Amino acid sequence: MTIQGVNFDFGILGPISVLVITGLVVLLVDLVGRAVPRVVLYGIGVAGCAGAFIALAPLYGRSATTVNGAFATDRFSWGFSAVLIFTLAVTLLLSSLRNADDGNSPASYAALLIFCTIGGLIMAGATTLIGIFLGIEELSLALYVLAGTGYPRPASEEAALKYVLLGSLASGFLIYGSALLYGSAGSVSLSALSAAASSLPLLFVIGFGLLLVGLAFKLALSPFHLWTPDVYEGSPIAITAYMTVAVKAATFAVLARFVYTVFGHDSVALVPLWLLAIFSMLVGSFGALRQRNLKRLLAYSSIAQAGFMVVALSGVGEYGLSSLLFYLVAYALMNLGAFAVIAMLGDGDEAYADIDAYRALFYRRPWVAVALTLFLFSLAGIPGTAGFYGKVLLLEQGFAGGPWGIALALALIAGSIVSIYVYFQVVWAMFVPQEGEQPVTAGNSWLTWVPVAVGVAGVVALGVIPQVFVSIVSSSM
Amino acid sequence: MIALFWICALVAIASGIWTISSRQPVHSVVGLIVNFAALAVLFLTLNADFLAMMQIIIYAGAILVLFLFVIALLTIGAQPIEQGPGRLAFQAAPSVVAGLAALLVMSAGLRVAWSQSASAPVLDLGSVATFGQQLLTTHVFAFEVTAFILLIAIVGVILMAGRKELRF
Repeated sequence: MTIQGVNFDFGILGPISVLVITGLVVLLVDLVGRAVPRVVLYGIGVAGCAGAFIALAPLYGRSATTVNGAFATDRFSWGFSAVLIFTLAVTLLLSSLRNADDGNSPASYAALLIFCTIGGLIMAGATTLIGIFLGIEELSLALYVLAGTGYPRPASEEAALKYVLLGSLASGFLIYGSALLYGSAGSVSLSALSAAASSLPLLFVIGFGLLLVGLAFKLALSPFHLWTPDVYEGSPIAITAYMTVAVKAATFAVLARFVYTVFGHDSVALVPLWLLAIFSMLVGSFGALRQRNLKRLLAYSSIAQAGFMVVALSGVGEYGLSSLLFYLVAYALMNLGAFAVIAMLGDGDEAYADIDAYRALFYRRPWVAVALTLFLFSLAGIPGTAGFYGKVLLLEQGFAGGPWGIALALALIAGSIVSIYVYFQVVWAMFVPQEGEQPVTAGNSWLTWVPVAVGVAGVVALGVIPQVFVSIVSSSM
Repeated sequence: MIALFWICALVAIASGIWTISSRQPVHSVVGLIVNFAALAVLFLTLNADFLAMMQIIIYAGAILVLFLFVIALLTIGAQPIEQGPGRLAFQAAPSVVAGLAALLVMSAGLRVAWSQSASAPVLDLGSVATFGQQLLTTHVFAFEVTAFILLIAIVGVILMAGRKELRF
């Protein structure tokens, strides 16, 4: 459809449109009805996720743009969008637990989560610097508020403040870098930037450097990770789960599109990215060693995991994108699963954030302990799980990616060895019998069993028959 | 035209220094208003009519008035800042270093822009008509998304302000 010289393809904009409508419906239902229970509001959100999936499905393997080329569906956007919508559904389920924080306003909370995901979808599909920046802002603005919904817990307010201050600084880097990139190419579209990327004028290099700093902030790549542990620990548990997966998925979509569209080949300008990744893998893995709080431990682990994912891009190889997407799917399943277990045990509360609470868990809640063990094994990369095959794919990219790729692959191996010890500490605590009084475990809502079961099934399936998923992922491109 | 540029540039720099060096927050706001006005004139010399108008209406008009409200609300009965210990003393050196780095980046950018002997700006690029045309055709996606971001800000404020107990 063309209106006033602008072509609109509502098929491509479908997932976004469905989620926009869902968010507005949630707000309106709360406005019209009196004291609507939050399960209903979050249920509408989950239904919206299903609708968005249905709208996304026909776009599989398609490559097209709309709104005068500003928004696209292609190999960079489809898989990442699917991960984002899945993450939203899981987060809404976790948020519906009895003790879950939602700032006393479930409708605004659910609407913000949905709008946040729309920001992620825009990031995944935007083909211009303006679109990317607006998507990042949309995602971040909603998350700043959501991080503080654990009010009146002081840690949550601290998380919101830290996140908004450092996030705004990162946005400053992003917008300034984008301005310089625009100056170097004379256009805001990424495809026009590739001409500048081949000759690497000074303006482009500085602009890309600043843009990279901004993206590294959002990805929590070290040394721009300092906000991560505090923000992840302070935010309500469902929001932490969302941040660890959704922000990474959306930002990696941007990074991958940038690396493949603008550069398209290995370039000197990408060396800072490889250095950031190596640094993150080491800092994240070693930082997790001393953590006694499971949310904090997973925060450090997510720093390392972000570094792992960058390895997929090393050498800018042909199969880099599908390796990245496979690992991202595996990461989403195992990380959301682990957070779902924490949320389930505390019934949405923070009670089960401390590792000591997991002592001898196997003898009280065997199935929960087994599920958490599986997720942690997968995060560590034990054979037979999704994480293992994901890391194999990443290593394959790394070793094929020239000297920097080999350095990245070696850092990946080192980081993984350290992180095995980190995750085994938790598993050990769960399986060693403990004498005396044991804390009571609350919570057994079937709502959280859904993400846990999906996570277990996904982690096992991706670990045992990975080829099926690799072919699904690669033919979406 | 050159004289106008130099006058405005000097006013912008001087008012910028005044903004960050004055002890009273209200003085800083006044300094910022002068700075924005000088910037608006600079935009005008670059044929960016629309940007100049927005600079005055949105920044100097709306945002700085908001600043004044916030300062008026937050400093009721508060001690002047200089009476407390210098809590930002440690930040002085890093911020000077960061500022110099930013200056380097900017001068590098300027040097490149200069050396390219860029073609003169298109005359009607910044006019209201061209801007509106571009906004609603080429950049209509960004336009719609921006509208949505404002909605998010409103919902976020409602979420934060609607808490059971409100405190400052």
